[in-house]
Amino acid sequence: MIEVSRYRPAFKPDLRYAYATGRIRALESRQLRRQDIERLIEVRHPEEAVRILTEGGYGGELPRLEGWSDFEYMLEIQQRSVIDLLSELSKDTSISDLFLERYDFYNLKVLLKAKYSHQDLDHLLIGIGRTSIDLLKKAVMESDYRGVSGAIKDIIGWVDTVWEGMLDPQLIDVAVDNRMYDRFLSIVVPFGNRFLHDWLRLEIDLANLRTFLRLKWLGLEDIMDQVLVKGGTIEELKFLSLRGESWERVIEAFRKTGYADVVAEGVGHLLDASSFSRLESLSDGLIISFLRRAKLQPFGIEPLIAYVLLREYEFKAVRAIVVGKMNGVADDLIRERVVNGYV
Amino acid sequence: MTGLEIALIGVGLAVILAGIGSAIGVGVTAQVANGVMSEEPELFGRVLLLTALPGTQGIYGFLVGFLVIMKLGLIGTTTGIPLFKTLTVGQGWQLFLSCLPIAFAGIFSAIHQGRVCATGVEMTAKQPGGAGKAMVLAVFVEFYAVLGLLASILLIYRNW
Repeated sequence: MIEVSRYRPAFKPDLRYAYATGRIRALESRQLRRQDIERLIEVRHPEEAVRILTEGGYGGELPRLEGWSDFEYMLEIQQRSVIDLLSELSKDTSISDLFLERYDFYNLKVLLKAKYSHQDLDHLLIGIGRTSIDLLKKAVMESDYRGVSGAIKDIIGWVDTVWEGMLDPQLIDVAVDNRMYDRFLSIVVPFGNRFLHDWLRLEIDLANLRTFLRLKWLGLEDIMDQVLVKGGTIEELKFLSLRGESWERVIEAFRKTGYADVVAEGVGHLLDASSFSRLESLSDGLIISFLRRAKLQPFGIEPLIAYVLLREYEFKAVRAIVVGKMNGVADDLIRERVVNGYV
Repeated sequence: MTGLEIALIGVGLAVILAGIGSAIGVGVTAQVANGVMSEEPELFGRVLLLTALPGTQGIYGFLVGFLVIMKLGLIGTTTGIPLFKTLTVGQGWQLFLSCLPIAFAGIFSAIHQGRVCATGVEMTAKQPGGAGKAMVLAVFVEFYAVLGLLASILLIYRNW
């Protein structure tokens, strides 16, 4: 079990990353802080939030940013610059490729959801990744697998056969995550970096927890053994043994683990408000706390990985705030979704 | 092996080991400093001293080597017969051993000081005002190199 609050990265300095670590430390000082996030939440109009972000360097590479309509483009430029930085500074191409592939899997989820919900979700696609969006679209929509990796082809085929007819599009996330984590484990385990492996195990544990609670909530516990990801620190058997148990029993089962707060508060909010939002934000918060432990590592790939992932959480928070503002969501609701990750 | 040869091996160890330590220490710190300055070039002044600090051990090693060479009378002017012409094997070993404190204190303190200075540069990237504090912590490591230097000098100039 990974105890995030007590986690110490192994002191095995990798001097190949001395330059990268120096550069990351300088960039970290420009990341949004808790008070910046609060300031963004408190603005009245989304245009104001975009203006604050632009002044803070978000629109730095844009010749002109005219309003919130350019917002997604602005974020994509930032995301691309972070991935470019990783490719430039990483001495291990397998790791930078892994982070590019995360975008392929994200786009794949969007396209599969679009296919099964018969909606146009193109505005959610992010043009970063190892595989172009056009090739992914052809693979998902027309089963034309030219130019896509074997892993992506497998996922599409698997989802098509197993998940067609499922009514909850969230389950597509579960299906794609399942295969994605399998793929990542096959890269990270041989790489032999403890921090990276522990991060992935934490991600898998939390993904399994969310899947378990979602399936339990939807009454689909019978398919649980098909979708849980192997490779985390929580045994698959533990989840399977909790099928059909009461919510109190589930909370009790995780009470002595590092996930006690996530489960207790997440389930509490789920039962009160029929929403998974608290569970999602607490999961994000736990991973963010873990990534911040990389500050204890003087040199190595850890600060670089942590920076890339923390920026992704920052983009997620910024997107949630601006989209929330555009849709007139109350400040408190935005804060509930976003702020936990920045505590 | 003659006394002179033994003494010169000591000189070589003092200069080489302390020099290796400094090269590693400065090398690590300079890489981090380059990373920081690629984003914040205005921090050059603040990180310069931290980058240079692990270089002092190399200078101490060179100084000890120079003092031994002077003592031997290989350079400079001496009154009477230069020591290297009459140096016994025992005296050669004494000079050899005199060089060891700075050789070993130099190499290890420079490497560790390099790490302290590199993390100090990382801290300066986040808090430019913290460069002074980082310098103070790095000086704590310097202290042990200075002790090595003093021990070597005292041994070189002991009465024969």
